[in-house]
Formats: sequence, C-alpha cells, structure tokens
Amino acid sequence: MSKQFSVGIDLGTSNSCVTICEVDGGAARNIEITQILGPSLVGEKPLLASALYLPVPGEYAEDSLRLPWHEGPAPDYVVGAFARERAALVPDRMVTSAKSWLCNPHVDRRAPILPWQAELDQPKVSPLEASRRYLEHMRQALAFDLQQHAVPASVDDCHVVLTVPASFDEVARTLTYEAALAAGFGQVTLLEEPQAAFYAWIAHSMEAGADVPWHDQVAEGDLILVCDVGGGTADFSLIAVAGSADGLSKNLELHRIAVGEHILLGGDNMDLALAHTLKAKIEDDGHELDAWQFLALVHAARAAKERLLADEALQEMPIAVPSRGASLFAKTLTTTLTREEVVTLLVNGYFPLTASGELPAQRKSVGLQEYGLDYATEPAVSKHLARFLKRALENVKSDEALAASIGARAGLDQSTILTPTAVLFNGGVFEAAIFRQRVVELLASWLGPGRALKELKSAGLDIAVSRGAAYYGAVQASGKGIKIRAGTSRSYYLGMESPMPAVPGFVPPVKGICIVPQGTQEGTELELAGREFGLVTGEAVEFRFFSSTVRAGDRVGSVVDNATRSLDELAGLTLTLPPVEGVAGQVVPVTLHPLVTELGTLELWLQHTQSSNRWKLEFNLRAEE
Amino acid sequence: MPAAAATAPTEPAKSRVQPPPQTGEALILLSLLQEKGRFLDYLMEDVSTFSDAQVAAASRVVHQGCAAVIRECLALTPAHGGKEGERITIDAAADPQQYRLIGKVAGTPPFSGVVVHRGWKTSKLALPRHMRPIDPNGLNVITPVEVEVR
Repeated sequence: MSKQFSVGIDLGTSNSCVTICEVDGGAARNIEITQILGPSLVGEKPLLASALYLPVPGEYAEDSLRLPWHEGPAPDYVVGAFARERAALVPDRMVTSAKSWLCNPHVDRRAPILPWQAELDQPKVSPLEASRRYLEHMRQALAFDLQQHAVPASVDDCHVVLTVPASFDEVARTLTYEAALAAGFGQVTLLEEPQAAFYAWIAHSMEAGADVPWHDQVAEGDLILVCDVGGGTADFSLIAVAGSADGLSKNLELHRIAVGEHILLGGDNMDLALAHTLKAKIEDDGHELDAWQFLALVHAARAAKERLLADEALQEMPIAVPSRGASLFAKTLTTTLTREEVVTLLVNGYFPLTASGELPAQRKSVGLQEYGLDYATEPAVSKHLARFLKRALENVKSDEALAASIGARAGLDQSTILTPTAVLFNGGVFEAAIFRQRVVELLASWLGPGRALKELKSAGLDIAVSRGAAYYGAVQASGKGIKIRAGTSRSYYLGMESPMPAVPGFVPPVKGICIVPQGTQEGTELELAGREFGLVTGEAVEFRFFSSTVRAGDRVGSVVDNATRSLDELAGLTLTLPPVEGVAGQVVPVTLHPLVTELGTLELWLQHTQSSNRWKLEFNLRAEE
Repeated sequence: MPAAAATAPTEPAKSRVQPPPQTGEALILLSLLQEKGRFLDYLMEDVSTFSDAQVAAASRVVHQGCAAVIRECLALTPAHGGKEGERITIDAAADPQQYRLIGKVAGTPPFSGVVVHRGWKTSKLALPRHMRPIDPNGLNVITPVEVEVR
C-alpha cells in the first residue's frame, strides 16, 4: 500500500473529473484532461464530458481522432467535448448517461444496447463498455498529464479511488469496478459520491487558511444531509455525527446512516424546462424553431439563467437564437428570459415549499417492453427529498442500536421523517445561491420552529467529489485522517421459495434471507450458518437476489417473508459448478460466504463443506424476456 | 509532404520554404470563434442593409459565443490595473511591452503621463492543438459545409 499519490476519479453521469494529490498531504490538483476538440484538434479541459460518439465509418479522415498517446490506429470513437457536441446534432450515434444505464435492472448491461433504440449499421456498445471507454480515457489522460508535468510516477504508483452514486446497488457497483479493471487500472477502491463530497468538505476545512476545522462546525448529535443535484441525477445521503470513545478527531465519529434512491433528475432538466418556455414564446411571435435552433436555445437559456441567478439586480436577459445558415442578421430570433420566469419555473417548480408528508406520486409499474431510462416523472426535488428522509427514518427505526444512538435527539417517535440539522450541498445546480437558500428554507420548515439548520460550506460544487475521493485515498493509504463509518449502504438477501403445495394460479411467495446486513465494513467475510445448499455439478444454479436500503436492523440469517414486495430485486446470481475432484456423488454440499472486499465490492462465495474448494457466484444480467 | 516533393524539380525555390511550426493557430482560433460565436458570418456579411435592431440581435449571438471562447483559451485582465485617466510614471525598469507611449515622447525615462487605454494582457494561452501540420499555402477549411442527411 505504499503508493505515493492518491487519485480520485468522479465518473459522472454527464461530466467526469480527475484529481491527484500526494498521499503525505500536499495540495490537490485537478488534471486537465486532454481530449479531442474537433477533427485533428486536441486540447485540455478540466472536465471530460461523459459522452461517446460513434462516427460513421469514413466520417473523419484517417487518424483525425488520434490522441497524443495513441500508437497504432486511432480508435473509431470519440469521448469528451467533441463527442458531446457531435452527439447533440447526430443523436442516433451518441451514447450518454451510460452510468444511469449501468444501474438499470431491466436491461443486460453487458450487452451492446447503446445508443438505445437507434438503428446503427455498426456495432453498438454496452453500458459497461461505454464506462470502460471513459475510464480508459481518464487513465491515459492521467498518464499523459504525469508525463507532461515530469512527475516521476506512473498511474500504477497511484492509489485510485473511483466514486459511484450512493444509490448504486451491488450489481451496478460491481459493473463499475469491472469497467475500471478493463480500462487498465490495476486496482480501484469504490467510494460513494456524497461521502466523497463530505470528505472534500473535511479536507477543505483542514487546509491552511481555512477558518474553522470541520469538527468545530458540527457537534455530536448533528445529522448532516448531503444533497447532491448534478446535471442528470439527484443523490442524497445522511451522515450522523456521534461521540467517539477512542479520542480521535476531537471525540467525534461520522456514520453514514442512509442513502437514497437513484433519481434521474438534475440541472439538465431545468435548462430544458426554460428552453421549452422560451420556445413557446418565440412560437407565439409567429416564428418556428428547428432542432438545431432549439439546441442553441438551450445553451442560451442556460447562460441567461446563470447570469440572472448570479446577479439579483438583473430583471431580464435578452436571448438571441441564430438561424442555421450563414445569414446572421436577417434570421436571428430574439426573446427575453425574465427573472420571474426563472424563479417560477425553477425555484418553485423544482424546489417547492411542500410539506414533509408530500411525496412523489407512486410510479405505475410500466410494462417491461417500454423500458428505457427511468426518468423521474415528478420534478419536485422537495418531494424526493421528503421520500428519502421518510425512508431514512424507517431505516433507523428498524435497528434498535441505530435508533438509540440518534433517536432521542431527533425525536423519532413524533416525526414522520428524519430531519437533518445541517446540510452540505454538492453538484452544479447549487452554484446558484437561490437554490441553496430554498432547500435550507424547506428543511427548516420541516425541522420546526426554534431549531436551526446549518449550511456547511462546500469546497467547490463541481470538483468536490473527485477532490474528496483523492483525499479519502490518501487517508486510506497513509492511515492518517478521519474516515466515515459506512460499510455497505444496503442489506442483501437471497431469495428462497417457500415450500408449498402447488396451487393453480398462485405463485408461492419468495422469502428473503439476509446474507449481508447494512453497514457491513469493508474487509469482512460473513457466513450464512446453518444453511447448506446441495449443488449438482455441471448444472447452472440460480439464486434470486434482493437488497434494501431501509432495513438496517436485519442480521445475517434474518428472514423477510415477502421478498418481492418488501425488497428490491437485483439481477440473479448464477454459477455452474465444475466437477469436483474427490467427490463421489453428484451433489456437492456448500455453505454461503459473502465477502465485502477492502475495495468495497461484494463477492458471494460457495464453500464446499468438506474441502477448501470455493466458487464465486456471478451476476446473471441477461435481460428478462 | 508528397505534394511539395512532386513539384520540387520544377519549382526548387518553393520547396525550400519550410512553414514555421504552428502556423495553424490563427485558423484554429478563427474556427473556434466561428463555431461558437458565428464570428466570420458576422464580419463577412454586408451590415449596411440591416436595421440596428437586427444588428443588435446578431451581436448578442456573437458576443456570447466569442466571449466564451476567449474566456476558455485566455486568462484576460487589463494590462494596467488602475483606472483610465489617472496619471502614472513609467520608469526605466518598466517592461516596454506593457506600455505604448504616445504624444510628446522625448528624453529618457521616467516618463509621466495619463492612461488613455488600460490595455489587455493574458496569463494563459491554451489554444487547441492541430495534430497534423497546416499548410499555409494550401486550401484550409475553417468551418465545414454542414449538410443534414435526410
């Protein structure tokens, strides 16, 4: 573990970012990512757009998509800024939001399905492969950057921490990890994004020149909401500040006690909402917009919104949309975006002051044939937040020890949600103070009179996640600094069919047996004692696999009666047992050993009871028919 | 450059002209300004036939796009940190690149004068790089013809 550098990688839904820092302290630095900016045109940008463009064969001259580190033929795809630009105009050949596809249980994430529903005369790519390409690009850009800065180290000398949404289940985490290995990283540690943002806040508060170290900004009993709304997704986590016996870090300990669901709602939705409003205005004036002009309108709306939100004195911003052709003067359309529109549409539309009991409408179950990305149909972030805090309360209540540790102060019994006492913002949306103020106002209204809500000062909303990840890597490698006690964000279950006489038209309920409790620390091997499975060699065995974010109280072996209703089903687990030497019969008795690795991945091993043979269960990602 | 080599026997003088490295930078900048801010469309059209309102509307497009390009490629600040109209003294140690003296310039420094224009400077020049050499004598496409395939 004697790595000299720590590298944090934020593999974002819309943008990715890389930070490097020395393990023994020293300033963190964001890598300027070298990327294709146009045919034969290369330059650096602080972010890498998580976009992949698949050109038509022959669309670009040979070698014009070559990056400085490419030897041999250049790849037949583009990643980054140019890919996003092209993709916007040629949507059928672009892959975006690969990350959200990675956690979509309705598709085979190893199958070439992207671009989704596009008719392509060339091979498509899988969500896994798209992620691999982004990660490979970042690895190569990192190596190139080290070389350019004459740093006497290679990527292999770096301890790499890769962030994933807190809402990712084990399947999505495993796939992300797989993509990183396939991208050429020797080893990566996984870290939840809201935690990374939290580490960035800690690191920032400890820097020379910072006013107040983190442990003086919060106190025992504080409950901190990490509220992360990025371009495409919203992700929430709760971190509790507890007293500590070991005297470290001013007697404070941090526990991540709840994570939210994967919500496909973010700043891009807001820009689209504004653009549609402006489009309606332009059309009311008797003009028409083509698809390209609409894109220009989205850009203009975003820029105008940022200006309006940054400067309270501005009441409106003029918007000009050029036509496609070279004639700029005759065909440019104009309209204005007013401050009132921005406030009504965005602040009240996405962050309304709703009651804590108002939740997003339950989604109707959609036929499997219609699946695509599961975009949130409810735009109010406030209601998603209420749902998260309600589920967090449910989670805490399910575990006596957890409830006892934070219960008294939070007044668990009277409330219907677990209300935070502090909030840390992350994600580009919160660059605008008006959204931060609104969320603070909302939470304060839920907290009740007389109780204050603290806003913790973020370290930089766009880059905090990769910075925090690099800091965490340095803490891991050096052993110095505070770690959030987190463990697995979910509990995991194996599905077992209840033995029952066959009844026509009645499907026997599936029971879930807890095999990994929530909060299991990295580097723990468990055993599901008392249950032996008989496996037949050469035959594929299938297990159904479930998880939950709201059952902190379950222990190994706890049984959940109706798994399909109470738990979230993940991809199945499968294994085909090879013939076993020295075993006379065909049936091999095994016990189940879940292992949470040091890197934060979950492995499920079947251990032969009579020998040291063990086999690993793999996720079966074949899409359901 | 195969083309130059082929013409070498008949035009020996031309083959000796080696293009200086990175001659393409101006084209790269122009191409960016056009792509993001319609700069060439703006300059090359006859502006006299349009109303002020039309010119103003188009200027917003150009202003927003070109400013974004400049901000991304350069880190611009005024070359003179103070106000225009104030009196300053330029001594012998001052960087001659920083100041342009006009009016009654005579004698030796220090010079005393009034700032007429505060100037510009940049602490960064981060233009994208062309991965293949640009031939200044060849035909170079700055912005390709856009064709919508239907």
